[in-house]
Amino acid sequence: MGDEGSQRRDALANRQAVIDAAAEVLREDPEATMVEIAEQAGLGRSTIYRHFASRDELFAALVTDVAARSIERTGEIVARGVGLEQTLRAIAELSIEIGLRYPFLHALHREALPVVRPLIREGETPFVAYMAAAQERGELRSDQPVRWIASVQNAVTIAMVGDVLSRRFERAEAARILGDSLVAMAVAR
Amino acid sequence: MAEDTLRADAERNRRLIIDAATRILGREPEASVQEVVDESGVGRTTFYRHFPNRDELLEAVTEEVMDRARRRAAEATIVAGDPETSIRNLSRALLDVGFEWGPLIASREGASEAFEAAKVSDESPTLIFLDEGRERGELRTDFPRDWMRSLVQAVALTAIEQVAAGDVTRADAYRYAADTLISALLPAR
Repeated sequence: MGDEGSQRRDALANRQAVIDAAAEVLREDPEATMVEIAEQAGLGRSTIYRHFASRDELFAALVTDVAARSIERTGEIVARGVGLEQTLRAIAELSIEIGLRYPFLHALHREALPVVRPLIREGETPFVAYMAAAQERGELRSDQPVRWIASVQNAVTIAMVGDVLSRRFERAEAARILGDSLVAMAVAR
Repeated sequence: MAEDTLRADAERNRRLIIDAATRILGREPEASVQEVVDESGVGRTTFYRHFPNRDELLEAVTEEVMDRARRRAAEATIVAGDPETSIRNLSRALLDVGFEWGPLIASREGASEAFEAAKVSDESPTLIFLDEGRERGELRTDFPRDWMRSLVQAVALTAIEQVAAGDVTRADAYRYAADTLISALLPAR
């Protein structure tokens, strides 16, 4: 029993290690093949293929991993319990930071939708829960459902990450503009 | 004289094919080319002379849809002095385009030059509306105008996706999208 448990923990730790290593390689070389990722990450070919049957599978895992991480870090921000405006601006900064760290994933953001949308729909992310509470308090606009507001905040954020990655805006300017946009679309009047 | 007739015939056939293709593929991007051939009333040989493969047909349909979208948006009533009504009308036109041709447009993301060009075109009615509104002081000028266009596209896209996913009715989508854009585009209080 104990042995099985620790074996599973090892396998999961290795899977995460492979994901992290792959992200490092892809940041430098977004075109890297599975073999190149394995080599440059110092992993055996069999190791990488034991966890991911294909490059597509690896990318899908990366998208899910980054989505989960974003949700977690957003949770940390909303837990600070500061006002809506400050919270949204901090989330704007975080989103751009994450977007810049995983540029090779931005083209796949649509792939994350099936993962993210049900969470938004069921109110199961810290961000949506926070927005619902902000609406109750009268801080968040009450003329739209939380689900709509959260979805549009998400879409606008992704659009800004895209604009930053295609160098239409500098990071600092982008964070300010995104923050202003999110706040404008959210505050109660 | 004979040449003119030939050219007129070729133009007429092309138009028949594109109209049929836009009707069918616009609604159902996975439909077969054979269905389009049948619907167009044009002979098989003639058809393939105009569009030798599916890719070229899809790209021609995309161009056609982008054209129609531009015309619809241009027909939206912009009322000088009343930015809220103008935004309602423009966003309704954009959403209607999405409701009609959403599946096709979504399938062409990243695969179509015509689509990418339309997103950044200097002649888009949205851009013209933003420029004129900013000049009249009716729209905010503290955002780059290209960002304001990205905002419009992101909000419209969210509305279309939410309706397609059954999360929001069309009637509500028109209202939420317009209200969101009004709060985002008008000068900050």
